[in-house]
Amino acid sequence: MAMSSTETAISISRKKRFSFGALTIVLITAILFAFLTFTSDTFFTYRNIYAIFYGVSFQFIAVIGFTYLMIIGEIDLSVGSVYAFSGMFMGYLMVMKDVPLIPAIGLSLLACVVMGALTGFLIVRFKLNSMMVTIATMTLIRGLASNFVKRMYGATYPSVMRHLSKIKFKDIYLTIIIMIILVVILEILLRKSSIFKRLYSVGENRQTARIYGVKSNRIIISLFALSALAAGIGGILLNSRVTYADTAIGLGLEFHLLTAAVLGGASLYGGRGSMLGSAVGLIFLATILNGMVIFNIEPLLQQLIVGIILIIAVYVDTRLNKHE
Amino acid sequence: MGMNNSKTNGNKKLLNILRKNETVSVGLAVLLLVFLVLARPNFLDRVNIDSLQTSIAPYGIMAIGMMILLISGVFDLSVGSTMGLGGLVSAITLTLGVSPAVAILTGILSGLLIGLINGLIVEIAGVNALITTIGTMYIGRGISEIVLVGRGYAGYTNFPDSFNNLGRGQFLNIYYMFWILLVLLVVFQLVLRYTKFGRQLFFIGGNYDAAEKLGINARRIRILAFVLSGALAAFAGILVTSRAGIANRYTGVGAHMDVIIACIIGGGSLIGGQGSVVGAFSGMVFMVLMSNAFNLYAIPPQWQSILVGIILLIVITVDGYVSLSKQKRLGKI
Repeated sequence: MAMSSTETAISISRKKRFSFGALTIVLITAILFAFLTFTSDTFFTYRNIYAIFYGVSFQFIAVIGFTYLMIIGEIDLSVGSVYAFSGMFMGYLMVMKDVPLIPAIGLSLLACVVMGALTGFLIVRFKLNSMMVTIATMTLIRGLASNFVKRMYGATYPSVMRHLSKIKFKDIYLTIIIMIILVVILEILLRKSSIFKRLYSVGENRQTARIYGVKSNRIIISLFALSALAAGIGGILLNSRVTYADTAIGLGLEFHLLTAAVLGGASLYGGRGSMLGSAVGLIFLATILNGMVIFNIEPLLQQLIVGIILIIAVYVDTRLNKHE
Repeated sequence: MGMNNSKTNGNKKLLNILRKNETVSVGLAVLLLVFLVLARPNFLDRVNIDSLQTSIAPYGIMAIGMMILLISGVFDLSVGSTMGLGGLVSAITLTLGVSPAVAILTGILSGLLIGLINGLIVEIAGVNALITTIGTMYIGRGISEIVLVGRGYAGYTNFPDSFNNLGRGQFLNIYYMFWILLVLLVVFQLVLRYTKFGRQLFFIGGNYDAAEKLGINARRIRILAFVLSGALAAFAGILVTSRAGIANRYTGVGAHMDVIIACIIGGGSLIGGQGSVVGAFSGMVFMVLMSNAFNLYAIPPQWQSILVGIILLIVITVDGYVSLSKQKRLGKI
């Protein structure tokens, strides 16, 4: 009896957490899809939807770690810089140092993981504010990335590296397949696995989590490492797609991911967030841009609209949660 | 025993000095300044001094506004886009044929309005400051882009001399804008130190709920801080516009990060409750001097971000270490 009542209590509180966030963005995106389908002939074509998903699949890999961090109430503003750094470092190793593909990927991702873990360590050890620390690492890592840009003199990446983003499985880009599989697995894990459920308790209350034996420090450090790893993998793939070290890679990505995650139900105060929500948030943002191009609306308006949507979404969310 | 005592005293003193927020940035800025004066003869060239003044002034003015927000426990990522928009609004009104004074006031008003919107959304609607100001940053940039459609890269040019004079004119060999910065520094340092508003900013940033319980109208004060920051950012944009004689989409891009970084080096914190106008100024002077040093030594600029990142990490970590050990001493942990 006692067991079942605590279980229901837990399931109720968990329902509250999930029902709102992910569902809203799925609904809004569905409405946007429906609207664009009915008003335009070119939107709901296989080619167009495929292009949207392909574009989003790179950012999605980076948003994985970002979402986990938001769930535990931390933030990583360095994702955009890591995104640029990983691919450029790998490209530098291959172009200038003749390192083969696999070791280049390994070294680059290792560098990312080490940087992420160090960031997490500083935050945990000195009880620092993660936003401040990652503003610093964002600047630092962007500087490292720019160094590689300068040293490669605009050289194209080797063909094996450029090929990475073009790998297909049964005529569909592998990045899209990976995205879909990961969304499903990670979302189920977040909902069902007790290990992942702990993340929410860490986000809701560090103190309580510690009392119940959750090692939040270790979790925080690992998640910062994971965030850097995820951003690193996404960055390698995007660099492969861009084909050369472009300074614009990853610029502003942190705010883009933040917007997507928040639209997908994550909160800056931690304790909330969903992988499905973040993924759909990214798709939503990409679809808006896509729709504007179709309707020949000044694409510059995109920023304006995204800004307004972001504020309204969070406002509505704050209001509704207060009433609960 | 005695030695031990004096050693702990010395440690405490060192901690206290580090704890005084602006010391680090003032020290860094002075060291760098002395080094550059001694090591680079061309540092004191007219051209170099001119460019230093005209970069420090607008960014320093923005840093004052940001520091006030940081002290009260919030921050504003939209200052860069407000900077661009303020310059644009002035440029557009000038092109419509109004007098420079009116154009400048309209520009400042636009920043004031953005600040008010930020403040209302954060304090009245209860949306987090990070989200709000990312949103208004996007909105501001979007508006700028729309206004500039069909104007190419140059944007608005050909302003009357009386307007350009604001950014180019000098008094006693020092740019007007640098004088303005100095006046604002003194004014806001006094405001923070000696007015109720100033003290309340620190209370609110230190403990928002306690401040409200003490009867401080925390909402109103933070809204006022947002308004100030917006107006100062727009004014900085107008100064840059009048100096360059051009208003385009590139003004203020990325400025929000530079300003926040300068404020953190200058002893501000995103957690609130600490900071000073002197810190904001010296942090910004340090940043500008550093980029100047990189120019003078012809070091590629990407090394600068690496160094800034490292310095920032050290500053934040030392600050964290100091406050941790202080809390331990007080027995809080």
